[in-house]
Amino acid sequence: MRYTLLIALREFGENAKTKGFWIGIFMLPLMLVIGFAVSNKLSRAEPARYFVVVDQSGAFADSIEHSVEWAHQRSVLQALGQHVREHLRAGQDPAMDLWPNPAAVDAFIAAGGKDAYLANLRPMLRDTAPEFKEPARRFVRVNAPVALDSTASASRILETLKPYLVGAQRIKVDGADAALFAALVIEPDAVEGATRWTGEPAIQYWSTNLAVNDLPEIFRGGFNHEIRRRLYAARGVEFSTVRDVEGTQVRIGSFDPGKAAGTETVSTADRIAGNVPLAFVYLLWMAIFTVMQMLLNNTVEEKSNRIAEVLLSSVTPNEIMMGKLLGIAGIGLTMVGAWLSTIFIGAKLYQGPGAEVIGPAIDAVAATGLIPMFLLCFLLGYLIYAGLFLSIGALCNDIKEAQSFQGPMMLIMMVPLFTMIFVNRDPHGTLATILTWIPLYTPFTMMNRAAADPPLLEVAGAVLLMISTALLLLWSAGKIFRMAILRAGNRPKFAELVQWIRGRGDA
Amino acid sequence: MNDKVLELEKVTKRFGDFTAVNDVSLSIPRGSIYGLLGQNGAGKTTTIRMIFDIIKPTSGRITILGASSALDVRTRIGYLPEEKGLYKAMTAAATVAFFASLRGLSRRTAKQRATELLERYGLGKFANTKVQALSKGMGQKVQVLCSIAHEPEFVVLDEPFSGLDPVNQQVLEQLIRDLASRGTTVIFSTHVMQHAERLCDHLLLIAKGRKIFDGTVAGAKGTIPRRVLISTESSIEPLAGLEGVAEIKPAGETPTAPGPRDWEIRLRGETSAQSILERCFQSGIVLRRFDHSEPSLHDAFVAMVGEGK
Repeated sequence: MRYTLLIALREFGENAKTKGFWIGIFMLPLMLVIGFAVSNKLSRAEPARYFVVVDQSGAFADSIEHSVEWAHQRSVLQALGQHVREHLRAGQDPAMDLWPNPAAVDAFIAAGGKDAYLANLRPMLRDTAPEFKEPARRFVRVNAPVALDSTASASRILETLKPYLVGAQRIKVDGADAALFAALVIEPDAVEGATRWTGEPAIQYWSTNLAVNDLPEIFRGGFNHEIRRRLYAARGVEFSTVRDVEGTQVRIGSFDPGKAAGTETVSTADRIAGNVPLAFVYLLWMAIFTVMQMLLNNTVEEKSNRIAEVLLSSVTPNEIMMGKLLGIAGIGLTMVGAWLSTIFIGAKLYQGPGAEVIGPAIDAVAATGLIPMFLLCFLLGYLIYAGLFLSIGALCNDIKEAQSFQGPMMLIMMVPLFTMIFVNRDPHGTLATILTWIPLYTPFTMMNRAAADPPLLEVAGAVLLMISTALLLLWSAGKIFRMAILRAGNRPKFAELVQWIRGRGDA
Repeated sequence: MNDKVLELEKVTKRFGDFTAVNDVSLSIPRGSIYGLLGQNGAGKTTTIRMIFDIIKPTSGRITILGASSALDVRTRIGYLPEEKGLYKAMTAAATVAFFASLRGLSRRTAKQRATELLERYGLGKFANTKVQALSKGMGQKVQVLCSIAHEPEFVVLDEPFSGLDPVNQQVLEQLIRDLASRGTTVIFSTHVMQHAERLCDHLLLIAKGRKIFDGTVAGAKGTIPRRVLISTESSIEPLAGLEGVAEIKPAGETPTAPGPRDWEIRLRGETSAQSILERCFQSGIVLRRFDHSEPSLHDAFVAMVGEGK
């Protein structure tokens, strides 16, 4: 055991000194922080996008303006809600709907917008709360270029606008040059032709940016509003009545019968916790994949650098193998421990947007058996894959040869990533069941299914399968390792490998 | 206490149809420097690997320091393999300490010993340098130190001089002498006969897996007859009838142009070289060269390997 521990300590110590290990430790938390900060920053730093409207029908100008303004007020309400949740004094209840649903936005606009709301809310906020900053308008309507003849045919109008839309010419906004993001051309017969699906559309949206869908959606909202208002009026129905009725929000309470009596309500935190297995599968995959690279590289290094022979004169092949397994497992556990601690501590300390949901979600995850399950799946998954990678490492003469095996192994290992969404959606379905009984995928699949309480018998069977597969692969790896580690030149044929495993080789 | 550190009894190793070591027996006395000589592929490394229980013999018995497996006495033995290899990312000191701890030293003692040894053999400045930054010679010295840091009773050095410059070869020769002076038994394999001649008390010569000689350096030299080497343009016929001459044969390459030719004259019993020289003068043989130096180990090696073919 002393020799196994010495090998393990060396493996741990040397791998812990590598850049790869520290990059691995910091990469995930860093990616989370950067990803969050960057997306937050980018969403705030999104530039104003300018559009022109040429309404030859004369019917939609107001509704489009209203729709664009409504969308802006919704984002103001959303930002205000976030601001209030971040800075609300303990024990205070705003008693107003600050989630950006349609009825709440209508109420917000009707009440007079942010100034009116803030007048009521400010006393409820902490003294340290900063001033609320209204988000910048994302979409701004500008006047059409002077050269545009708004009475011309749609094709003529577009001919004039095209250089602006493709960036060859710039429009003037408050005296400065700016890019034209989109143009909306509404033909004279648009009211009649608004719902036309054949021939030329009466309403045309032109833009080179197809990724931003918000603006056409805002326009669509405006058109629908106006057309429906007209259709209701034609039928003698008061549109404001319809709007009132449409604003009705039905509330469906969600309950989980698996929770303790009295606490069955499913909260947003519970919903997040329900998706956590997906994150755990990803973590598991990253952890196993990272440590397998280390195990493979180290084994190949010992063989290609002829270190194995010196080691074998001091320790048995089994002691080397067990030492490597222990040392690299230590590296993996350190990495996983660092990731989990960062996520948990980070989530606990986090005060930004969504903090009121993230904290309880983390508590909900901690209260489940997901973390012990994760550690179990990591250890057994590690041993299964270690059996394979140790054998590959011992069979390869150098890292180039090892890389030729990495491609197929990578493909095999990608399956749990490709399928994790489907397994999560249907944790007791056919796919989940099949993957559970394929030993290479059992750790990932069981981790994914863990939150859905799979039958106890299935859990026990899967754990047994993982243990027996790990033992079998490690036993075979031990045989192959002993025979292959000193062998140079051509790799053994499959039949020879089988002979080695059966203990009939020459060594 | 058994005065034999290593005994091989009828050891054979086969890889499929190929016999790498064939029925080799040997016995190495404590405190000796033992040379293991043989051509490439003769079976030296396979023999050494069996001694260290890295591979198992097909048949025969190996006893090392009284144990049947080297792993049972791993703290008392040291090994420098032919193919040198170290962990490239480890420092020289950490490397020596790691291998010393694998040979039974506590981690603390191993570290101290590593520092001392590196200092003693001129690598003190490089103790904290990564192996990948050391020169080939320095790396090899580090590996030699790895094999002796735990002060073993018995060390096997497989081709320890290969890759070393003449200065470092001398350092290593001195190191081997130091080990022997402290009572350590040393086996080393080599192709360079001068090293064996200077260092060894005993020699084992293997060819094609078989032992063809096991004895002292003098004994090895004694296996080839005493001879005189001459170079002359004259006819050597007058020498052929001499009573003390066993055989005369051409030595070296057959010259393609007219000129002096080298001959090897093998002598019988106590025939003196002086009598051959006198006969040359009497017969008018004009000598360009007359060499009656003792045969070298190299000559003995070449002769024995040649006979073994």
